[in-house]
Parts: sequence; structure tokens; C-alpha cells
Amino acid sequence: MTVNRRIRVYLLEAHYQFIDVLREPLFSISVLAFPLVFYLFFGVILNFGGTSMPMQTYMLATYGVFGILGPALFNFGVGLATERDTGMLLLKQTTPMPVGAYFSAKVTTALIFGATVVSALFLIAAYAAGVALFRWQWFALAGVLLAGVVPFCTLGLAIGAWVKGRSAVAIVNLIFLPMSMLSGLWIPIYVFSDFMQNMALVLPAYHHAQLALKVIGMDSGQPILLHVIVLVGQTFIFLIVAALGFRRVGGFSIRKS
Amino acid sequence: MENQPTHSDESVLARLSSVTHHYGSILALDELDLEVRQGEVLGVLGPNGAGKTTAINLLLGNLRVQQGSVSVFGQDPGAMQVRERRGAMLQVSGISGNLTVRENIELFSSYYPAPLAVAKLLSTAGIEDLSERRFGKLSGGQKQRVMFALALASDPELLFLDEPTTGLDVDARHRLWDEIRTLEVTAVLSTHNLAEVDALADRVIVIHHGQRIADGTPSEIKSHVAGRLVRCVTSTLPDEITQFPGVIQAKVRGRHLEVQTTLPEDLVRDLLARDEDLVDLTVEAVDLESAFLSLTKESP
Amino acid sequence: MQNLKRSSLSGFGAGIVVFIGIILTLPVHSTLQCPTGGVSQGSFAVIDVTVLDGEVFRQWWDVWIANGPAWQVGHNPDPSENLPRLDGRDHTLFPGLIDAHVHTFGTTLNDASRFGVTTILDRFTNPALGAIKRSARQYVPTSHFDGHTHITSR
Repeated sequence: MTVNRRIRVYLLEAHYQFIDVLREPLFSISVLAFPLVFYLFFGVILNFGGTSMPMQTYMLATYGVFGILGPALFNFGVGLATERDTGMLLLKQTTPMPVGAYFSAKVTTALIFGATVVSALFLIAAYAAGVALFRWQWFALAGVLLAGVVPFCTLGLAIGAWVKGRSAVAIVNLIFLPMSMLSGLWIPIYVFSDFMQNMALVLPAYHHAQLALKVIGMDSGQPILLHVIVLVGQTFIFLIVAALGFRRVGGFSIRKS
Repeated sequence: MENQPTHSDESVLARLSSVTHHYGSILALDELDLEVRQGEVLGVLGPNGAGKTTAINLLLGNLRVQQGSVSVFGQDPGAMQVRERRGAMLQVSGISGNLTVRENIELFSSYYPAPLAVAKLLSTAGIEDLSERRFGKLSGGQKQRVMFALALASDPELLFLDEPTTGLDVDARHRLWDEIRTLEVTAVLSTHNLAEVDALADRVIVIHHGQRIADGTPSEIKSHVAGRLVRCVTSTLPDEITQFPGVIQAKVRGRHLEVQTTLPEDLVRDLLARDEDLVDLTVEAVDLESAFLSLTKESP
Repeated sequence: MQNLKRSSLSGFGAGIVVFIGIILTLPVHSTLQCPTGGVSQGSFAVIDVTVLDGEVFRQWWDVWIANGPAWQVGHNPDPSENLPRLDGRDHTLFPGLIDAHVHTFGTTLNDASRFGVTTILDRFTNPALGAIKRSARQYVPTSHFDGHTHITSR
């Protein structure tokens, strides 16, 4: 396959996967609206007074993580499981489509949705909640948030490789919502008991949120390297889990129940 | 029945050579040989679970070969050059439902080096009027015609059709048959529907429990399932009526006498006359499955 | 098909531009400039600033500084004089900190005021050196730390 054709396949695959997801109103609305509404409600309207930190700034970082986590988990976890069960993946596998095009299209789609949520959150934070940061902080926060697509997409991949299409939504929600809560994405992590704060150390969303909070100087004070190492390590673990899942069902084939 | 002339390699586009395939402990293919020759439509006929889809997926490179060898265009079935020259219609329940028919076809066309024009694909599959509709909103028959267009996107030299009309109503089935018939392309058609191979195939192999049990033209295969199947509990023995006009075969299965005949009315009258104690009489169409079972019984 | 490729490429490109554009329009911290020229250096008001009173942070306060020390603090103290006003939003004012264990040799005091330390205790030095160090207080740099500017008074 020539380089030019390869680029075109990668582009069109991403283009159409994005349009496909965009036209799914339930996905677009829930993935975009949840973090924005939650942020408006908990970060702006119900602003906890008297604490030592401006909550609207703190929650900008954590709801940013929430906004990245959603599309990555759902697009990969649910999308992959459904498309394997309908047989679409198998059909595409029989064509010359490079497998990488399919996955990079999924990552791109998650990235576009994530960037949309992040921009909207930034605008609300800036113009409704009066948050101001240094310019480098705005850029660094956006960069750290978007980079979260990588570990979260691999987590979605690991889920999608193992579950059936019909149960995928339920299972992804069972991971998505509790993990968001326990990682301190909705309520600041420091209000939890020490035990729960220690439990959060195993959650990728916790480490990603701490990196985002680091940018605005509101993290729990653990070293950056710790968070990066955990996230990179978990990314590899998720990839291995996904590979095992694919091997179990023999590639992309339709799983017969 | 197993004998067939060996063909020179140029005329064979795809070949399974003594392929055995297991899913865990389940044997799906048992030493299966299969050749697809240039220009023919090969029907692969068999009841559900016979191993047809396994054979197709091996020919497509979707399954790893466990035993035996598989080649397409003289190469590994998963090779990129092979993928670019073939098309496949699989038992797939859906593609991107929120994309229009045209968008789906454009996407699949982009995978191939020299795809057919989208307009040509739409007209060949008879779906011009559906091109702007979302795939998810189409009926089953319309969806299958879109799948058919996708299978043709590569302008294939070899086309795989795995149960192309399963689940379609009679109208939709005949429309799709008409469209397939207009093609002049080498094709492998797997189906459990005898009428389908009769309508489309030049040559048929019948597989059952992963083994090839018959090979011939559609009419030869069809003769095995001609007529009606008469079953009853009676004292009459099979040998007494094998010479009766219209009888194709007769045998005992369990308590029942089973007779396949083209003249069921005459046979029933005769059977009733021979044995007044005859009970449990049924007359039914010969389904493929029982015909295949009889074929398996025949071969030692 | 080429068109599609071009349109999706330009779509991705436009998305990136919009994303960066949005970030560039977002409000950034203003840097608090001490008023210079024409006004008395020691008299100004900081409006809408967060004040740490030693226990809690109080948001949207106004602090009126007259000839050096803070003269009036609270919500809208309404300074009657026409003093220079500084926008204190996103900034925090707190009383000077006391560092109770410092050795004042070398450059150890260079960053003290940057971190809001205005009083130091050195328990192991020649008292005669104190006078020299005291003169260094004339220079009070303002700088950024953790996204907040600490303005230190004397």
C-alpha cells in the first residue's frame, strides 16, 4: 500500500468513524453534556465556600479529566465490542484496511470529543466561573488533559476486547462512574478518608487528575514521575489484557454465544 | 463421487487441501479438499453447522490454518495482494448504522487500490435510490444489497458470498439472486438453501460434519432431494418397494420406513393396500438435511 | 475521493486552529504592577483580592494601603481618596510570614520575600551583621509562585 493511499485510508476511516459517532445523539449529548453540567453545578453554582482553594479552578482540572475519560472509554469499550459483535470488524479485516487505521480513527474520535469538552469547560470556567490562569497553564492543562486519551483508550480497548456488545454499555458505566467518583473527579480527593485516598492510587483517572492539578498547583503533592510511571505502566497492562482478549476470541471474529 | 479431474494451477484461484479445523474439542472441518476454478460459481452446500463458514473464513484468512494448506491466487489468503483482489459478503448484521449507504461504500472503496466507481456499485447492487439513506434505517433486504455492493468495491476477481440471502424474504432473495447472476466473476457461494445453488452455482460441493459428501452440478445434487419423503410404521420392508415407480430410495430408520419418491400418491395407495395396520403416516418435502443424511449413510 | 481527503484534512486542521484559538482568548492573570510615577508609592487600593487573614481565605476583599501599612480592609471600604486602584482578582494577599530558623550567611535571604517571608530569625550569628541584612529589605522583588502573586508589604 503506497504511503499516499495509506494516509488517505487513515484519514477517511477517522473522518467516517467521527461522523458515525457524532450522529449518535445519545453518545454526543451524554459525553459532552455530563462533564459540562456537572462542572457548572458542582464547580460554579454549588461553590464550596471557605475552603483554601478556588473550587472552580480545582474542578476545571478534575472535570476536564472526566470529560476526556468518557469519550475514550465509550468510543473504545462500547464501539469496539459492538462493531466486533455485528461482524463489521471481521468484514473490515477481510479488506486491505490496515488495522492501525481502525484504531487510530477511534483514538482520533476520542481526541476530537475530548478537545470539544475541554474547550467548552475552559470557556465556562473562564467566562462563567471567573477562572484565570497563566497562558502556559491553559496550554499545559489542555495538553495534559488530552494526553489522557492514551491510557483511557487502552483501558477502553481492554474492556471492549473482553465484553460482548450488548453488555458493553453497562460494564463501561460500571467502571466509568465509580472510577470518576473514587479518583476525586467529582468531589475533591482530599475530602475522602485516608483509606479511600490510598485506594485511589490504583486508579488511572486519579493519577491523570493529579497531573492536571499539578499544572494549577492544587495536586496532593506526589511526584510527577510517580503519576507518569503508573499511567505508562497501566497503559501497557491494558494493552496486554486487550491482546489476551483478542486472542481468546481469535482476532476480530464474531463471538458466538 | 469423490473423483474429480485435477486442474492445472492456473485455472484454480483458491484451494483448501486436506484442511482440518477444530474449535476447542469441536471438529469443524475434517480433511476437506476444495478447489475454486477460474470463472465458476462454486456452491458450498450444507446444513447449518456443517463447516461452510469455517471454510470461507479460512479462504479469507480470517482463521489461522491448523492443519492442511490454504492458498488463494497461489498466495497466503491473508496477503495484502490477495485482499486487494477479492471481495466478501459475510454473515454480518451491520456496518456503521449512522453513515449513509454512499458514505459506507466510499469508506470501503478507499481501502482498495483500484475500486469500482461508487455510482457503478450503487447501480450494480440496485441501491441508487437508497444512497443517501442511513444504513441503520434500511430493511434486511436493502442492507444485504449494500453488503453486496461493498463486496464488489474492489472490482474483485474472486467473490465470497457466505449465506447471502439468509433471513431475507422471497422477494428480496430473488432480487439479490438477479444481481449476483449478472456478474461475471469467480465466486464461492455458501448456503444451506438448495434453490440458491440451483439459481446461481455452476458446480456444487456438499459438506456435512466438515467432510465433503458430494460434488456435482446443481441438478445432480438436486436429484437427491427430489420428490417427497413418505414415512410410516409398517411391516412392509424397503426391498419390497425399491422397484416401485418413482421411488428414489427406501430405508428403515428406527421404527419407520422412509421412502423418497417422485410419485407419493401412488406410493401411499400401494403401502396402505399392502399393510392394513400401517400407522403414523406422514408425507413431507425432502429437506436438504435429510437428503444429506441419506448421502452420508450411502458413503461407506 | 481526493476531495473527501482534502475536506477531512482541512476539517482536522480547522479544529486544531479553533482549539488553540479558544485557549488564546482565555483570560490570563494580570500581573500586579506597583504604581509608579506621580503617585505616592505607599498609597493605593487593591480591589477584589483574596485575603488570608491568618485562618481563612476571604474572597473579593478590598485593601486600602495608605503610606505603607494596610489602612482599611474589607468588603467595599470605599476609599474616599482618588488613589490608584489595582485589580486584585486572582491574587492573594497575606501577612508577611515569619521564618523562625534561618542562617543569614551568603545568599540565603535572596528568595525570602519572593515566598512571602518578611521576618526571619537567625539564632546563630553575630548581631552586628543584622544591620547589614536589614538594609537588604529595601529591595522587595515581586514574582510569581504557584500561579499567585504575593505582594509583600514591609
